[in-house]
Amino acid sequence: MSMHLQFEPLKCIGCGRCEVACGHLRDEGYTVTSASLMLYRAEEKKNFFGLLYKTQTELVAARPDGVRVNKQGEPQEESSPGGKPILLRPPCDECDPAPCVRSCPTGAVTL
Amino acid sequence: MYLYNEKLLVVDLTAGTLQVQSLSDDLAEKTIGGAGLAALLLEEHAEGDPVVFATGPLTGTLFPGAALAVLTRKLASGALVHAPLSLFMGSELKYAGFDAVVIKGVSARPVYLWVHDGLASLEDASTLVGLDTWEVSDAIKGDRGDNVVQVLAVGPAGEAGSSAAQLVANYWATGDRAGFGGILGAKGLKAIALRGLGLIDVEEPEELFERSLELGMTAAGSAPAQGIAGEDSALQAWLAPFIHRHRGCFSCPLACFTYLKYDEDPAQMGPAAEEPGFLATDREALEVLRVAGLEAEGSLRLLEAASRRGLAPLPVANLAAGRGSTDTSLLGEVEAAGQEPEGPVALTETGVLGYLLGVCPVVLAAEPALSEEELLEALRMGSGLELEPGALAGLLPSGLLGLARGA
Repeated sequence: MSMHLQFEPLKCIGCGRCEVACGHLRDEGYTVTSASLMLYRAEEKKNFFGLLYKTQTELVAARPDGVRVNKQGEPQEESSPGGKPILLRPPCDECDPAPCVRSCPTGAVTL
Repeated sequence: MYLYNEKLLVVDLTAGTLQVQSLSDDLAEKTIGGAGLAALLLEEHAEGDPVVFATGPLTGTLFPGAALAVLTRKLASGALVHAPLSLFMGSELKYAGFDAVVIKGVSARPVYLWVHDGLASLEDASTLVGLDTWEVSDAIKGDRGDNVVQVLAVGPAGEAGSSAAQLVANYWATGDRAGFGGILGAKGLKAIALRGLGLIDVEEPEELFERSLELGMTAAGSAPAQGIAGEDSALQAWLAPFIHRHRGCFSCPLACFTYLKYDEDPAQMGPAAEEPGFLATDREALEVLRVAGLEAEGSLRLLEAASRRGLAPLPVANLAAGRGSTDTSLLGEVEAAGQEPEGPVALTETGVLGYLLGVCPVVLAAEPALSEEELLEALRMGSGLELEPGALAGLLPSGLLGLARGA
């Protein structure tokens, strides 16, 4: 496993600060399109929110029922048509200190 | 000017037209944004009983609690009323490319407003007529092929023009206690749908970023995620059998809301049942029901039904408490009886400033480190606007100014 970040999805409160903080590193402004991790908020009626994360080789889904790691290119169980999906995002460049970690208020994302 | 999109959207429902206007530096400086900008836009657009939906300069940033948008309208008396919108409604409008939207006139046919990528259109809503807010949200997300589209929905109560109708955020109750659901419903507007993928530019990006992260951690440390019940142990105990997870709004370190499951085991963390419960967002309504001695499950089901119908939870809770019943037949009575429009309540002196800047008044009230000085410094770092301490209060519309003085 080559994950740079560690996730505790049950600590996530769905604020999306990590996504905006990661995007800030690339764009020097606030946006939700350029981060390597994104808040998964497509199943709001079920309260099934969590984080999706892209590394150089893997796609990670850190959602309340657990953390799943898939090699990129493997078929995904599900995909959201919305916005700019995680597949089109740049991969994590493994910065340290990581703005996503520094911005998370609950310790759901750590190094 | 940095932090602003410098774009306003003016929707004339009577004519069926949409105009994009620029937000000048002068106007931004004079009003700052949010409720201040809305007050001025309501003067400029006096015809057609307008409603303004406005963000502030900090909405969509990493300043803690930068989730806020404000709805504002003028009562017959001439006084302004405001409703706070949180979750992802403010940030989505800001990232969609507009600072504020003016909605005036009455549409001859049912429509919904679709705002995205600096563009906007009025879409046919004839198939949405009569649907409840959950059905409306699902239908629009389905139509747009994107289930992250944020939907401010008018339910059947709003279509009926009830003054107790509120605008619902996707599926959940909002802080609208001023009947915006009924006002927009009477305009023939069934929903406002938002999707934002834009970029907010910052004057001093590193400085604002670092300060925002620091303040975020301070707020997280002193007010940990406790959900809707906060430190109220009686309310915590009442809700305990149904608690799934706490949830926050965009960019906020607090988690003031709690998802409650009653049609599935709350310990179920995977996505199983389609509609297992609802997100509690109105603590006062819960408290009224609990104090009246009503049982929790029936109360939660009643509040879900109110949200679906597009009714404000508080008048529903008040009637249920008075009757000692959580029967959903109460909803029709509340819809018919209506309510007196009420502006924002229980704000601190600093909290009320969030209505200009786009920061949630709840987090400003909860965390003393989020002071007026910090708000002004964030505004300066972000936009270059320099204001003296005390200047913000002078820009608040009269009703909010009264709250600030009385706090």
